[in-house]
Amino acid sequence: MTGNTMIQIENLYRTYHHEGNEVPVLKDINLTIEQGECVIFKGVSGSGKTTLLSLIAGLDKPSAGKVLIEDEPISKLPDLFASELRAKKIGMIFQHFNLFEHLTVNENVTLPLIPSGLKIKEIHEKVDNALNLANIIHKKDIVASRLSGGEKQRTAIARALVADPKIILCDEPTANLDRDNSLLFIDILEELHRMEKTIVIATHDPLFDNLSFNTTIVPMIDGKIV
Amino acid sequence: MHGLCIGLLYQKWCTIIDGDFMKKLIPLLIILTVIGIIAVIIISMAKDKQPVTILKNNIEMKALPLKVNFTNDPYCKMLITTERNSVQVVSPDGDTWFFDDPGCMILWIQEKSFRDNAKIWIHAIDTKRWIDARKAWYGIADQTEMHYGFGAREKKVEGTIDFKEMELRMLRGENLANPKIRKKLLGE
Amino acid sequence: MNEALFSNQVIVFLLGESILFALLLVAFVVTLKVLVKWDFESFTPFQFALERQSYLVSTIILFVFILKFILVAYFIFSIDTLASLLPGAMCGAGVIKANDYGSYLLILKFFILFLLTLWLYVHFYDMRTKNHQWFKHKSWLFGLIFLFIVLELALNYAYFTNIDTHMPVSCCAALFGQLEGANPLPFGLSVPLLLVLFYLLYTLLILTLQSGYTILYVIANILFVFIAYYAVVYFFGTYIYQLPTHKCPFCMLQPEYYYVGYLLWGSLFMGSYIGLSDAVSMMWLGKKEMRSQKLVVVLLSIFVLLCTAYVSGYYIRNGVLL
Repeated sequence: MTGNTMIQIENLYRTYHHEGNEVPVLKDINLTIEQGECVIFKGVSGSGKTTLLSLIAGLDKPSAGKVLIEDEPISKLPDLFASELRAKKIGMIFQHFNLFEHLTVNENVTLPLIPSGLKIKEIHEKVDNALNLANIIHKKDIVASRLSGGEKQRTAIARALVADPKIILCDEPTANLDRDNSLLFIDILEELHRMEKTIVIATHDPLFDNLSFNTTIVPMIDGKIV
Repeated sequence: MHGLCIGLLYQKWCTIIDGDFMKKLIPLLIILTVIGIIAVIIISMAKDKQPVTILKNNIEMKALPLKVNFTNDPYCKMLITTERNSVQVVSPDGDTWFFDDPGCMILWIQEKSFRDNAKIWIHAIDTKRWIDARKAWYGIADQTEMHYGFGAREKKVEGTIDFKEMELRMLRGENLANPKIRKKLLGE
Repeated sequence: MNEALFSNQVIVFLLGESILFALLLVAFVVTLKVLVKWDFESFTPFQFALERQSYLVSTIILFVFILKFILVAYFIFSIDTLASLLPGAMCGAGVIKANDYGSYLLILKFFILFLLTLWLYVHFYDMRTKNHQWFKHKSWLFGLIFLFIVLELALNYAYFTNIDTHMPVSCCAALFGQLEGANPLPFGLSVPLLLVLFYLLYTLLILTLQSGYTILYVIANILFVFIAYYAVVYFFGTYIYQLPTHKCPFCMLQPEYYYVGYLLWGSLFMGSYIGLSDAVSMMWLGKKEMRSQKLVVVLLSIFVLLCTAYVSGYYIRNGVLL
């Protein structure tokens, strides 16, 4: 870990309005995540982990408070700039993979680089690197719908890494995987940690309780950090 | 199709003007065009003045000199070619209109809100000067510009009528422009 | 009963204007509230709520302003159809002169359209900043536009309720016809000099657009619109009507002339509005260059080419000019 602050969260609140009622999902979250750190938000379903991850990614706007990525406040960024931020700095891995089922592995992983303006040769290089890292290169021409759960997850990892982001956000990454694939996933995480990526994981999987590499567990209950 | 042609022409134009030579030439072209525009405007404005219909700022409501061949009658739209029997109406605001025939003036002034407060001057055919039209005396079979027949005189003579009578006859159509009246008065 | 007021077109038009006004009224009230309390550096729930409201209000304003353009075109269409109700009116020209409100209303509508275009540009730039840098500029401009729209609504109702279908109106021949010897053209121009000025100004517009002389471009554009109006009414229009004495800006909007007036006036005004708004917003907001040069060149070129095409087409067919 280099000690530079990558993500800073100050007095963060998120409240939903449902049928005239206010539903507070996040309450006064304060957190600092250093570069290269691996942070795990642990909590049961409904504790606010996914919402917090969405706010860090700029996919949602808070009701109050700040989120800063490398000292840049992002909680008020218009969608145009938030998309740019995600394209350059953030890779996301979702619970349900969110792949385009009708596209091949190669095509799914290439997609994020299309608006980047890079030359075709550079794009191919980056895609192959990402596929190698995620150990899915041997399946690059297979349509996503024909992959197993673990292979889909590795494709999702490759897609998240292809733009070489500084931050990797994982939302319940092992929820749809068996134990063996979950362990494989954790191995890849360890490799990413060695590459000094800042990793933030939202999960309630007990496999993440005692990882072999340095992690910070942040328990959450009812929208608060305990 | 037109849009495609315009688009292609524009692309060609952009290619041409992006060149170094054009970048130096364009400011010169702009200067020449601006000079051309200013020249056209100055030349136009320096020409003899175009005929006018209304003169402003005659607050004293006096009779203004009539520019013959440079003034239009706002009712019949004709150019006023002689001072003889011509009329000018001055509104309380100081706007002055000219007419080639008192008949035109009568028909025009009916719909004006300042009708009763306006000063009306007429160029008398006997004394050849501007007099108050409401105090003038009008012949009924005179040769006038619009052939209504009402020639203004400063001095009352036999057969002339006053302003009120002239106005009434104009509004009723009892003037030389009416063939029956013309036949009755001139035997034509 | 005022037959004009209860014609279908006028009812639809007034209803449309009233609904849009109601939406803008809501937007105005919210904008005032947001402006007073706006503090982008604050991260309180109140500021976040203000930002959400400002986004909603901007969306409403954007929607209404786009519809206003359509409504102006519909207004012109409506007054054209009213010509059949008014004795003496052959086209919208006579209908506009049916009372004292018409001319002022038309001029105000065109002026408001320019302000709307300017707001659209400022809004476009504002939405492309990280910190809504021009939110206050946009809001004050909207406030100004709203005041004019209030006046416009009042004039709309005053105009349509004061059209007397029993009172004859002047036809375009009387309104735009030349007095014997009198010259209706500005600066004492003759028609040939008017055309020279028309094409010189068009050339200047293109040159200044390409080379970035923004202030000169603004002056040239305003002058071009002014001269183009006279050029169309007193020269090019006669070739559209193929009658040297027919001088009218409205008759060319009618079906017998294939509604070419909409394309003609539309390309002139849209090209000018877009160009002027781009230039003004560029200078006001400190931008480096105009964004819409190509579009402006295309629109104004369509206008000039269309005008020229009617004249050259007539000459090619007949071998003489009117």
